[in-house]
Amino acid sequence: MTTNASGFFKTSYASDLGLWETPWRRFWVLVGLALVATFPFFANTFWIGVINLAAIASIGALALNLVTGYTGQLSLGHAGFLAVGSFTVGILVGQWSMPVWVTLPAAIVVGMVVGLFVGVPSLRLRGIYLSISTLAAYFFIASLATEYQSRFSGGAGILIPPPQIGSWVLSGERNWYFALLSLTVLATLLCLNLNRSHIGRAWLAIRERDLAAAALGIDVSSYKVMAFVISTGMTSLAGALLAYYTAFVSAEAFTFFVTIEYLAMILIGGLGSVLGSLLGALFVTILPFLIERAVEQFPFPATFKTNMFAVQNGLFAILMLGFLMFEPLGLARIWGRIRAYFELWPFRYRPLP
Amino acid sequence: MTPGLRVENLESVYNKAITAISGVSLEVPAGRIVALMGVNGSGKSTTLNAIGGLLRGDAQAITAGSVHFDDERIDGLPPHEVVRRGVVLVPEREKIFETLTVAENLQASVVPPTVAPTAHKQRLAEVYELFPALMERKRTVAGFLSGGQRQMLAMARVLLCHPRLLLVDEMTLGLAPLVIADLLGRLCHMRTSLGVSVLLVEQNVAAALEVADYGYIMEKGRIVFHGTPDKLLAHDDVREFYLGLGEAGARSYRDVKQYRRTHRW
Amino acid sequence: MQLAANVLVLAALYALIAEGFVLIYRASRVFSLAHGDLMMLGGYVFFTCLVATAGNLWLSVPIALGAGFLIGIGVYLVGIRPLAGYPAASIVLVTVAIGILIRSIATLIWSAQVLYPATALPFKDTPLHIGNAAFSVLDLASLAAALLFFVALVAMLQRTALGVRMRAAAENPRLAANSGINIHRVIALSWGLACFGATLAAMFYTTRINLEPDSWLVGLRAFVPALIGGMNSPLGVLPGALIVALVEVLAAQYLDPVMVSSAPFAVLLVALWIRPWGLFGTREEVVRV
Repeated sequence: MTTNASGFFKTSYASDLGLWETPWRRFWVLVGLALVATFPFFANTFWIGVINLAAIASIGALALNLVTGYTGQLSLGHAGFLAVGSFTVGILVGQWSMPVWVTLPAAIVVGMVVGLFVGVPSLRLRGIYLSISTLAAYFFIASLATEYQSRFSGGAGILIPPPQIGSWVLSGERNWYFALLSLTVLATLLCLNLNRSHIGRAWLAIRERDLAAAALGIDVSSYKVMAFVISTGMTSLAGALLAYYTAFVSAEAFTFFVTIEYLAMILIGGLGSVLGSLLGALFVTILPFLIERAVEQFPFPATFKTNMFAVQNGLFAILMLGFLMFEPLGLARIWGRIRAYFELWPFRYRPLP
Repeated sequence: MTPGLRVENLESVYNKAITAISGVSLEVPAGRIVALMGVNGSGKSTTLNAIGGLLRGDAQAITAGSVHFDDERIDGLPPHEVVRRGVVLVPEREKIFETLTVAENLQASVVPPTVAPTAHKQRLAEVYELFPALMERKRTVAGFLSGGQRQMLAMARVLLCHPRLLLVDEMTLGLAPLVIADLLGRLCHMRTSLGVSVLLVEQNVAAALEVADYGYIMEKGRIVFHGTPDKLLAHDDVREFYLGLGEAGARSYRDVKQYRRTHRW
Repeated sequence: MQLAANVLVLAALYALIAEGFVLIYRASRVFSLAHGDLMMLGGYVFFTCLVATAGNLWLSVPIALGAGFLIGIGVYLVGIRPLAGYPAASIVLVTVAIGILIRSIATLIWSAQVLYPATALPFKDTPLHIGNAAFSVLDLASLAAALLFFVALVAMLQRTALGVRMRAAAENPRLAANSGINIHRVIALSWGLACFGATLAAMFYTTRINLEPDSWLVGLRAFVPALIGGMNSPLGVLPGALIVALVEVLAAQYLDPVMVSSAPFAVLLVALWIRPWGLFGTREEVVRV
């Protein structure tokens, strides 16, 4: 059933816009989902915890890929938007003990409003100037957060009790796993649907050449702002989830390095690709743990152990450089190549359309 | 030693997928003007860029063939090395540095190592004599010059590189006929007084053949016809397709398409 | 009066680092976010030289500056030149990655603790009084060094043939290559000079305050004066640095000290709203990038 490789000709607009390209693909996606769903039953708690973090990160990565990968606006303020979500939860829970079904939507809404403020300057600025304005926005949010923290919670972070709906409390790695998994699946579906709708096509056009897109009648301004708003809303949600999962909100957790991590996720995973965001988030989250294990196992100089953070960052930077230089389309592309090899065998490459 | 440019079987590929030019061979003897003509997309500019060393990296590369200038192989050299050997590319647009003054523009041209400093000073004096308008405006920022003065500055800049071969990329584009005649006249003057050879890439076949000593016609990345201007002007197909002087009755659009598809020069 | 003194000294520091951003941007059209880390590295090299030569400034200063120059060229050759032609966003991220790598290596070599290079100096930094403002010897030295650097740089750019070629390559690299200018050499020189300036600033900053891996944040803040002055303009950093230094010093004086580090970014946001291409930049730059 290698209909894809030898030329699967779609016979209706519906099938062209559809979520799966072939019935075969749908089968494999469902198999994958089933595997993912049964994962917590045969893995130990530590790794479930790591995957939980990866799930939250993937929501953030999907959001960043929307604005940077798909619409082409490099956003350097990602950590700031995560902080917005976390601190919204922190303030609502800390000051007024709001329940989770209020704080999560509130975080999304606040995130979207912040996105509006960040997105509107993007209409005047292009390229690197836009990125700088997002960077400035990040520093601004970070300093506000630090201000709040030092004034209202005595310099320490805010403790968050586990989320509770009615009498049911969400705690335990496995329960979190399923909650986060469903949210991640929803976020992925949202991104996939956005990408195959007119909105996604407009974003692609804007990324390639926004002057040409405007000449085609696309309202560049509103789509750009929409990209920011949706992205920051999702990121804010990720921040809120982070607050609940780690049960702690503090400004120190949102350094500029966090932004770099997320950028690395979408770069390593593949810019503009939903699968790329997921793969990248998984990769970048798991990597520090693997490095830690590796350094413990093998004989490395002692400074490596005491400065584990530096080792992780250094390796991280090398990986980023490697992907940027050699495989700018990321893991998704590598996966695509592997898949194409198996699909097309014994042919070497696809016939030209 | 055979002076002049010799291109042999040049092939160039874009993005490893699209063959831009293939099997291109041409010769520009010393002190001659050679015209390279063809419609848009036929590969003329790619050939020029390949000779000038401006094709680098995976996106555009020379995949076969060679370029020799004065028996020295110059393909694969970086552009500034090519210039130092006397082969200067005169681009279509952006021929001057807009933020530098006239004097600085002229100063930016690097003198080839084979030219003595006194010769360079002399050339500078000659250039100012040739273009008195530039002499008056030595300290004006080049961005404020008029169109004609920019052309003069562009030419002056090129002269100060002490070229032995000029690669001119479509310089008559968008210019009035009188200006075209003037520019071509200057090219001839450079050929006769300075011995500079010229490889002239042009779509304007009529103007090019007026000054050229030899002509090549490219189509779809290959050289399909070459000869002296008389031979070219007498050729039916050249007259039909490049000069618009068809005599065999007005052919219909379908005839022309059919012709292009089937005819092998 | 003391305020003015502080502003001048801080502005000198920012101007030196910001000039690096502008030089790199003009030469390779790359907004290098690694510059803060290069400054930090310069500081570490200087400190090591001081310690190794037991406080011999005559040796340490040239070695550190020379090393800074070479490091700048090295970063260009290894990280930026192979990526010529890649989209601007990718190259910015490459500079970010290079910065992180430099910081990690520095932490591994010199550890993450805070160092005080002032203790390795052969003299104590005594305050002098001019008018009713207190300048330390180092402050005056930093002002003099910055002045010298800028005068030399502008003289080179405007008067010498090399400067003309650098400006030509900055404006139109392709045409410059067609004029016989070896643009790679020119761009490498720009990077070297940029890093030289950053190391110079680092020498004064680290001896006045301290040295730690997080010093890169100070260097990073210096991109604000570069942007405010105009990324295209080598002299625009001077008014840009003065404005930012003024805002910072005033913020430290009259507002919360915590706001000090975010003050430059507030200025930046305002500037981006009003005049994104900077005081002396050219409008097309905003669109072209």
